[in-house]
Amino acid sequence: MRRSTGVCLVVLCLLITACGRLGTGLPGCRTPASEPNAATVLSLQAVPEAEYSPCINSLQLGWDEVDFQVERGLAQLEFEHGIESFLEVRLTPSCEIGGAIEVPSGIEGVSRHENVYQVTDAISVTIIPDGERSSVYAEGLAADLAGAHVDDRPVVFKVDADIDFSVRSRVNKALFTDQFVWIVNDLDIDDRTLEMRATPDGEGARGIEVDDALDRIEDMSEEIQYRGQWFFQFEGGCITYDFDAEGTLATSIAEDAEATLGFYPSSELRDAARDAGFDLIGEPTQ
Amino acid sequence: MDRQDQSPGNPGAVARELDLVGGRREFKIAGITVAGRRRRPSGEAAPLPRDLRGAAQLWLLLGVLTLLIWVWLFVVPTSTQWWTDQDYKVLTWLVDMRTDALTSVANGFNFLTSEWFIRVLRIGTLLSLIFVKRWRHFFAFLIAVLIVEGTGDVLQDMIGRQRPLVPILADWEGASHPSRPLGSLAVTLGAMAYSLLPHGFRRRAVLVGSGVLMLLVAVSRVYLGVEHPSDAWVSLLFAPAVAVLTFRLFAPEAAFPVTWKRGVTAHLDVSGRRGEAIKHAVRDQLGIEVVAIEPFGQEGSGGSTPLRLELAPDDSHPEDYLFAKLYSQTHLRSDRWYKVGRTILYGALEDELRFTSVRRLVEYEDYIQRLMRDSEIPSAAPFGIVEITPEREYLMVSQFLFGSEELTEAEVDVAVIDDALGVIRKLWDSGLAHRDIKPANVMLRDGRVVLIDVAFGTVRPSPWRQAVDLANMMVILALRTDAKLVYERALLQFDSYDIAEAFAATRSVTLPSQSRSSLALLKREKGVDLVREFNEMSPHAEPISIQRWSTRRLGLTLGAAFLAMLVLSVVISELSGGGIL
Repeated sequence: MRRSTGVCLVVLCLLITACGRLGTGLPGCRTPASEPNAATVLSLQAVPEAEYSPCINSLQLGWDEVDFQVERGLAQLEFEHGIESFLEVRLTPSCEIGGAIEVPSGIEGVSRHENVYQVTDAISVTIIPDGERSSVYAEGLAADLAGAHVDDRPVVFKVDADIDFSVRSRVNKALFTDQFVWIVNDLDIDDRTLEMRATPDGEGARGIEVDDALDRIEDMSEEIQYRGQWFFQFEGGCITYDFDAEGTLATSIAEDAEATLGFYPSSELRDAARDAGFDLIGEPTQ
Repeated sequence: MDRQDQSPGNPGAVARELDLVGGRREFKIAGITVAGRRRRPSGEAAPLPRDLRGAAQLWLLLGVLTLLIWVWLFVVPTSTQWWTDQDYKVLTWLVDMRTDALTSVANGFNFLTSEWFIRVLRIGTLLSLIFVKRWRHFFAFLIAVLIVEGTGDVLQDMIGRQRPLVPILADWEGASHPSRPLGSLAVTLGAMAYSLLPHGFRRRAVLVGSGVLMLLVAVSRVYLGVEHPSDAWVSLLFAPAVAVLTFRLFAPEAAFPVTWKRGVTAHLDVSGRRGEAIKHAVRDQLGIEVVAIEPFGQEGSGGSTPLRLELAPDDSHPEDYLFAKLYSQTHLRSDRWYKVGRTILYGALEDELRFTSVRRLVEYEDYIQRLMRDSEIPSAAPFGIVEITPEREYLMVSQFLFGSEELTEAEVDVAVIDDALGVIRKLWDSGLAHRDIKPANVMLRDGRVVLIDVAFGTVRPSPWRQAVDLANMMVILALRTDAKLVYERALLQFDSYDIAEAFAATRSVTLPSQSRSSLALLKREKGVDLVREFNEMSPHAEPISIQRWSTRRLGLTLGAAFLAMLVLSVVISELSGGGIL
């Protein structure tokens, strides 16, 4: 065979195979018009007793890089952005939920637990005045800095001037919810300075100017992120959403995941197979 | 007409030879009677037919058949149903046979397809090949594995076949077709047999044993419900086919026989079938009876397989031997890679274009050899080209310079120096360059200098190349005498500026490795730097740059860098435990 003929044949074969209708594909969610594709059946085969398997309703913008892996005991969808994976969805026979908090699943027979660490886009700073005059100064600071942004993230200032509590207790309370606390006393008023404390250790610096304080917030702020797991447990299996997103992707990932992903009723598929004479889990064929 | 006058060394010999065409069936070249030549009739097989026969043909057929089935699946997706129906007939039968004991046995066979077992086999084989420095087999092994793993990976995803719809009793991964674990094991066992075992009974026995073992493993995996029968048998056909064909193409047995000794040469094995074919071909095509063939001077030759042909006693000529060079596809590829390497390292020095076929390679060498003789450059008389396998193997037969010795081993006096420099002068005057003037190629016979191995010769070379020929010859002569004497004798035939140019052009790359090592030895033992001495004696000349950049060189360099990175990434991937092996 001449080399050019061989090359033509190989190119033809590639074209034919590339245009072919076969392929594993991705597990799509059930619609009235759709039939289960190979990926859906393989997911069922990975965990044959599972009531549900993960499926894709429609891909969101930026969610189109999906890798589907399947093996005995595991079906996994991995969503990537560039080379970074931001979400893994796994179907396994069981899962360890640890200290996750239960939330309503909205699906009968499915329990849902979440264990999420989230950094939202706004940065909260609590200003705590230490003295009468400084209360006015604190209110003035909050008003002056309203609408400030750090790293394109809005900074929300609130003043805790509740004199019924000591400064120390107010600081501890603020650090529990917010990352940054500014303490101002009467001596700071003339110099327009403040003392800043930040999580996690509550250590701070005294006598720093407002602009320097904002710079420090910029340096110390965590990036917007959404990390953690959602667990969906049901008869015969568990689906885990493992999030690891940051930046703009993290701001809407929870809503996007809800919209993108769904549950395929594997039990119906399994029953249909059994009706056709195929038994996947060793039960007597009807 | 005096037959001795037909020697190509004699002026007018070519013209007289032409008179013989179709007229006479017998004449002499350099004392050898060339008679009784026989034309191979149409349809008769060549002396050594192409080696892709027997098992290779069968595997090629099976490989192509598998590819056609795959293409057919894509052209007519509904055809998958027919395969599925056949698969389930076998599957159901095997599933119905399931017992605990049989399941244990099947799991035992299935263990052989585990990732770690295969990895141990592959890494063990590669380490063994590195130890015995069998690089051809090393790369052929890697290529075969890469083809099977790559094809399996792509097709598994493209075809996307579900696993059998039966209870599955063993671990699995990915889609069902083709069976990757079976393909991985089959290509590994096949490639191991071809790279580690010498041709013969042992290899055949291991291949047959591996085949039986693979069948048992395949049946076990189908029994366990991991794969459909068609997934298994397609891999059992495809993977061994890739192993067989890869080794036949990249490390053919004839050129790279597996022996249990360290090291390997690029020389063809001339015993057995090839040896007989050579004798037969020389008898038919040159009318010369060869009784024995033996390798000759292989250590100094990488571009061909040099041979000494022992002739049957014949009163009509005094010669007992002929010299021959066997050229094959392997040498053609080596020549190409050598030129690619030189282009990357130095740029296109001169005439680095590759030959497109073995025929073109030998035709060129034969032409240069005859041109040298016609130009009265003393060299071995050519007897012609003998076809061993059409387009793939040719033998170049020439006079055997009996009683000659390398110039660096002979007694060199002023007459020899003049003669040797005179040869270079003749090359210059004839518009020729030898391009490989080194001790092994400059012989002394009956007190006269003779050049051999003119394969690299060129017509109308660049002035730079001519200068390099002169410098190399002067270095060889000075190795046996001294630089001052050689320089003084050279001035009788060359201008001092010619000599200055010659040494301005001399770099380590322009000196053959044999000369380089002799120079290094002289410098180490006696502290003599011949090139520097020549440079000091000759007028000043600016060094001639030989580094030339071109788009081709840039492309080749980038390609080589990319390949190196690819190899590095595979190594890193292996070390991190997630690679192809």
